Amino acid sequence: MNRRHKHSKLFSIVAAFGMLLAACSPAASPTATPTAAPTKPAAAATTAPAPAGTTAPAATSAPAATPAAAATSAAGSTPAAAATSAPAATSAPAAATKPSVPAAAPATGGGPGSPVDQVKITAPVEITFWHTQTGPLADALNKLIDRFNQQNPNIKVKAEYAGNYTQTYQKAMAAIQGGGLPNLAVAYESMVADYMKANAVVALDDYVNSAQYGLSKADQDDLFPFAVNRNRFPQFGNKLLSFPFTTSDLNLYYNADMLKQVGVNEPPATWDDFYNDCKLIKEKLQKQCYAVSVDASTIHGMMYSNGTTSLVDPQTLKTTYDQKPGVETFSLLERLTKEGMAYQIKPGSFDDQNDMASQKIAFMIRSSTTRAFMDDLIKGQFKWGMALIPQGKDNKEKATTLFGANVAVFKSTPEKQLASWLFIKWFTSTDITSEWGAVGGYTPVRKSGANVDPYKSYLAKNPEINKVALDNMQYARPEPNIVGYQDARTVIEDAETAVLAGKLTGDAAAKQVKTQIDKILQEKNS
Amino acid sequence: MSRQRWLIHLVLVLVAIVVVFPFYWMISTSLKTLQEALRVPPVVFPTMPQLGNYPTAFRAAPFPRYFLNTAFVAGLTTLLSLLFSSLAAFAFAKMRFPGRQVLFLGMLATLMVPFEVQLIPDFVIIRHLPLLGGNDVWGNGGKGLYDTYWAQIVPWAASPFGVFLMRQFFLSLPNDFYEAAQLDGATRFVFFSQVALPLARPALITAGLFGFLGSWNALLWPLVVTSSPEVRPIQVGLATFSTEQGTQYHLLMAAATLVMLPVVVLYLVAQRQFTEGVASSGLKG
Repeated sequence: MNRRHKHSKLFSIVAAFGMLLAACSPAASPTATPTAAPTKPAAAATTAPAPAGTTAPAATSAPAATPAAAATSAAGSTPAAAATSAPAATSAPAAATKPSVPAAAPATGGGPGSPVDQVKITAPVEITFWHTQTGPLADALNKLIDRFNQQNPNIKVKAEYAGNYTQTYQKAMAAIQGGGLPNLAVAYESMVADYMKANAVVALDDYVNSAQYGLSKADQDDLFPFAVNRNRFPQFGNKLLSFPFTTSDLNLYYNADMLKQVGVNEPPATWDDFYNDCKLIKEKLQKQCYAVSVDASTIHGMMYSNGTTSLVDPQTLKTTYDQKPGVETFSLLERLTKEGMAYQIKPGSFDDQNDMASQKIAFMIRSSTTRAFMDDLIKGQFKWGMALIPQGKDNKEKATTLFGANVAVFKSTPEKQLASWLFIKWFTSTDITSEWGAVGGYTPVRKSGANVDPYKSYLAKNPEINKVALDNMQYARPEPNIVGYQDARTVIEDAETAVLAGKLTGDAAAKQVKTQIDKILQEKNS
Repeated sequence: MSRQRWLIHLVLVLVAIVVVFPFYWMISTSLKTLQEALRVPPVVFPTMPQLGNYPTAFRAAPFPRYFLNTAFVAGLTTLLSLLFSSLAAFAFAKMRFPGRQVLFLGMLATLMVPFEVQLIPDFVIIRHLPLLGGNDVWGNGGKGLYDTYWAQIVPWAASPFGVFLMRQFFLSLPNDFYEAAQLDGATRFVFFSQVALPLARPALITAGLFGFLGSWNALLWPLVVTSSPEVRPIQVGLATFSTEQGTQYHLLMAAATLVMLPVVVLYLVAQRQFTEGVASSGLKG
């Protein structure tokens, strides 16, 4: 009897422990990736400059979203900083929560006497670098890193694959809370804004301007200005919070043979030409012309080309989607779909590549990184080309969207932060950016990168196509890096989908996008 | 009668085709060239089977290591989850204690919480478990279970779904069984381990399969709690074939075929057990 009682008591404890474990454990397994389904991994390979935006937590839900306010006002030496710290100040009461990362080094102006000049790396330091590369590109990246480590005996860069962009973002957000941030990580601007809201990012201005470790005036001028400037965050005192890692731009891909068959010898220069070419293809070849990959960055590129100069005012947080260029963009998509000349591909897929390769369509609008795959797919079956995306007929300045990711440095010790910067500086130097561009299908981050091998010979191999991405870099404009823009992308893509499904007119879509994004930006920044 | 049978068979054959076709498609794609894999309209039979895709895919990442990692993690996770789930489920089904209903509903409610919400808190717990991985008593100073097998096992070592499934099964066990065992002098634990658990084999196998599959397919959590290839699972290996430029479907499918084989074998074995389990439970009909 006694024995039995003891048994059942022990049993109850174990059972209770089991229940507790069950209650604490993540539900079932929603992270599962079906082994046999090719769709998930494909989605991971998105080329958009921001992640698919569905799973990324909103900026305001970031639990440590507070110290940013302090950071912005501390740096308030420029008028821009003062202006942006005003809306941030409303969240100041919450700043009482304990920051989970070491406090910021006092922000001072750069230039000679930059505090970074005092730092010396005398003992070996190891720095961790989170990246998103897989397969051959990961091998190439690792080889470059090995070379850096050999050339810099006191610095050891340890590269770690952290998943695709969204996964890397989730991993970093977890590490901001629980510890274990790397020293460097690849990130899109919208992610950097969230990391900075948690005050985890090192501003790079002092490093760039350091007399001892920085970039000379000539070096700074050599970098593509847009690629650098998109890393300046108006909401964080216009500070440089990340640095270009990969760059590419939005381009038009076209089937030259198909255009020739309908009597057109040039790729369309304006959206009117684009529409007319589509009409000819529809009439003479009974084919659709354009497979649309729904994507906010593509919409932004079309708007830029139609004359949008600023998508959002960083001070008032009001957007311009309802103005003429926005309406024209959505209306063109409406017209093309209504007249049976364009259709939407599966979201996140690369089906337009396949449709292009099998001559189902004549046009595709994609980032220049997609170019790397086209030779393998087309295998010389027809003549194809790349060009700047068509432009609005009243547009004075040619424009397209700048694609690609950046690399941010997280706060650690002065030595590790310096080592991280030295790695970035090396990676974006002329020779290395040329090499990385040639293997990865990216454009070099600086102009001189195209004048040396191997990128120089890559250009020479097939200049008509390979030069296009580089030539268009001068027109490539960044997208807004305002807190909340991650959610704005979803709004744009939902409206675009509705237009392509015939459920919304172009005019209504443009208005809806403006209203909804204005509201999101107000909410996320108050 | 025979006409009806014929109809049933027809339906079964159609369903079988629907079930088998994705597997056929995977294997067929794994034997194509990339160009053929992406052709529109799709190519059903590879014109020239590319057996070379298999060694190429296999060499693209340290697959044997990833494979062993996943086998260990998935195996241990399944065992632990069955142990804890069945104990908790038995208590919920057959024991009376205050707060039983509330606890059970509370546990079920956790099924509604999306994983993305739990990601950060779970990560913080894993990293700050006291006295592990260089941590002090307060859970600071070290890495906790970060970058270990355990980080991938512990959070899944009990599953609310498993508890629910097993509880429903235990509820269906007549109390007469328990009373009979009691007459023979069996304690509650003896009844659980000698009578209830063997009878619960079908439920155990179902819960086990779900747990195993979840573990085998996990990607986001392992990516977040590990950093070295030495402990990372097979799905990280499969991600190798998706690059920023596009996906190498032919190689991905070749690797996926290799990865899927053990799961299929396990399923076939378990399926037999499953039917036997139903036959011997004494509850049929």
